[in-house]
Amino acid sequence: MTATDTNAPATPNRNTVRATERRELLLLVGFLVVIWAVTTALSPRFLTPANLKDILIQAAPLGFVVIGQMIVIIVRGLDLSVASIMATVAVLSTSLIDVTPVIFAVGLLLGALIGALNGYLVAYRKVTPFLATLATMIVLQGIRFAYTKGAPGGALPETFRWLATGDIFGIPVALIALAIVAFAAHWMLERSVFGRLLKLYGDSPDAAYMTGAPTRLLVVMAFVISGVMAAIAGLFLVGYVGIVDNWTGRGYELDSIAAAVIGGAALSGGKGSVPGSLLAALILVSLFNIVVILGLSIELQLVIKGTLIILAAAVYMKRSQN
Amino acid sequence: MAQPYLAARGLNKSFGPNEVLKGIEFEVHGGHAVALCGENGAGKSTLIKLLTGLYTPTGGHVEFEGQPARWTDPRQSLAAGIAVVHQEFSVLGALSIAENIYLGAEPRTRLGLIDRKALTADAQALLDELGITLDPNALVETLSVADKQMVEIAKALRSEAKVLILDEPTAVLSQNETRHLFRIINDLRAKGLGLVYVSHRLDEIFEICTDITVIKDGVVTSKGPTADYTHDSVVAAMVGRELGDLFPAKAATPTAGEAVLEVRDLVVASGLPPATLQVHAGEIVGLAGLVGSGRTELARALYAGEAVSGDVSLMGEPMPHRDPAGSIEAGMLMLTESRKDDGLFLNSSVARNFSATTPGLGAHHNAIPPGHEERRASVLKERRGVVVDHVGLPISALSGGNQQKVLVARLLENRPKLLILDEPTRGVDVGAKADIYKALRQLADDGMALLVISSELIEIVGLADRVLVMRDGEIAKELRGEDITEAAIITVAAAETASHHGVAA
Repeated sequence: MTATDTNAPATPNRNTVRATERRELLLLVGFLVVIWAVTTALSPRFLTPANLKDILIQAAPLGFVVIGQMIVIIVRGLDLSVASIMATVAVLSTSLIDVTPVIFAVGLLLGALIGALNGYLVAYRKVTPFLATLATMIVLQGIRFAYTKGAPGGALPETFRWLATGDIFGIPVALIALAIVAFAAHWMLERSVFGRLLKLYGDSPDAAYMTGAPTRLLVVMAFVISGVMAAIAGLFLVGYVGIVDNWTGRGYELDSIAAAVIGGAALSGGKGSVPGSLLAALILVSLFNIVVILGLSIELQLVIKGTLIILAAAVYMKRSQN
Repeated sequence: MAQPYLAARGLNKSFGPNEVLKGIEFEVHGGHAVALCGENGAGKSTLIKLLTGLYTPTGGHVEFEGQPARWTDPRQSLAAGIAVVHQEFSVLGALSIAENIYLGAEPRTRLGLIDRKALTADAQALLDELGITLDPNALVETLSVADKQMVEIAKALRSEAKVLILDEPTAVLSQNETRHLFRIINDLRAKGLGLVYVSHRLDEIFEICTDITVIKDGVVTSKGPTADYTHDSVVAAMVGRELGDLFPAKAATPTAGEAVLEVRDLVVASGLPPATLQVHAGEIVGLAGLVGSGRTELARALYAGEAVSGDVSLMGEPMPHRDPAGSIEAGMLMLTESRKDDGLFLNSSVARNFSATTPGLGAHHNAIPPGHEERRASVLKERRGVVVDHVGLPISALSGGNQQKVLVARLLENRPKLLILDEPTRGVDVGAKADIYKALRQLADDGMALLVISSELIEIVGLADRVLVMRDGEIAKELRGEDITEAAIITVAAAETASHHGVAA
């Protein structure tokens, strides 16, 4: 409970904005518990420490991407270039140098620059986010293929591999990194003035402008964050897989949008949370794992994923009408 | 006299507890043009909506050719022969004139396809009959505003009409275009149509209308043949009303304070004459004028820097690069005209709306502690008398008056030196209006400078120490003290545009 309630009337109001958000989060937790419980009942191989650790490590890259994607969606945007950023950053930064901290530094800088380009196109040139990031995605793809001549290579340094696959006291490094980033992002969105302005802008860009918010800067920064998140995700993913590939992260653009929406972000802007997004990412990765464990067809996973998006949209639509 | 084509008999209309029209008696005879006069909010458009079946009356009834008409849909009144040309155009630019005129009622071939030959021929015949010389195959987007208006009229008259209602048809027309419109109106009247003509421009009414009906506060205050009226008697019927004690007393010595806002040669948009004005500490300056006279544009030019050129200074400090953020920092704040468009954050809580201009105020190092927003909002809520169960509720749950109080509270948190308020009481009930007037006067007494835009003349007259009347994008006249009357403002605001014939330098 927060300090809010000291000022609240004796009966807490069910219709406050915060109470509504809390209920949405509980719904996601409930859904995750249900699918895990059902799978556990069907197969003894699901609820084992090793399998759960697998799910979490696999969810980490998507977790980074969805945080960035959700922040872009808050400012009424959409970032289709995240997967392309993942692959491009991985290919370029690992081929330039083999010192792990430098790989990360170069990768993050690259992600930030690409994000800034997206943000510039959207905020200053008034290109719709869909088109701007679609174009960036294609251009990056071209650059990547031209640079690698179709066949990326190069050995990854040991420390780099360890970051993506190793443990500290049994906890995967990738998860520790995601936790730190998630806490920072959550604090930024819920407690900082910058985060408050992002949400206000998403609620009403015109009102935000008239109340003095630096509207263009907000949009650019949202895309920069998304670019950086995609860069981190790309590096962790190649580290985990062990090979640099031109198609690293393929499909993450749509998965991250799906996860953000299932996690409570509204494409009309202004709404979205880190816990919701991460829960939704965990649900998506769990579904994939469950399909494999139960020996079901991969196609079924797609049907379930799609159904989930529609379900989420319907639930949130109903809430916003109340 | 013969039976009227269309009449209102003791018509009442209420929205909830709000009585908008009371016992309206109104009639239109064939061959007559009736002017419907009244201030903004007097009830003219409500009456038109009742006459055409868009609204159903809460008392009394509409009569068509002597029979009670129980229309529940505008299509029924249209079928009976009531045609309306609204202020906003409904023509589609990408279609031809003929296609627009017969939109939804195109002549068909036996196969059910649109019969293009018949379409063009019908449109040509209709245009000829109205004396409009336009090519029916021309695309509407290539037409001038006046010609689009002609297409609107042709469209309204495509089926046999008995009554034609024109809602402010000349608002967007030049003088020559207005002449042409008048010829058509006179022709239609000569053919026996009954016309209802809504306009703010008294000169026009006296030129083409045979009868006048004046509505004020939802009641018909005067009606009769035009010959019985003068300009002054129409204005008196429109505005003659007690100010009551809705408004607090005005400043004893307006303009005595220092100049807070100084604007020199501000060109709002290219082609418009430069505007020069001052607003002093402790005074409320009213910005009056018809809709479209450039009031909001001037305010936005000041606040958001949407101007071509000119000097603006606040407290003697020049403001070269103006945007809302810069204006707020300098101490100039603005309440925008439309709460829902660019005032409120509709999906956010009341608390968050309270602090939207100053999200970090009172917080440390840009960090907003848990519950900080809510605690601040609870204090502001008490101070400004906002009625809400819980500040965590979405702002959309509040009434218009309470939403407006939240917005005003938010502005005042920035300690403005100059406050610009665009339609501060729009969509607010009378009780809340009085609260807002009192609060504004208190601010002026405390030394703030206020610039208030309003379409409600009574508000300008009751509130302002000084009034700037705008017309066609320029400040046409300044009124002070005893000279501030509704009649004086209307006379300037609605005068025939004389600016093109030369204004004293």
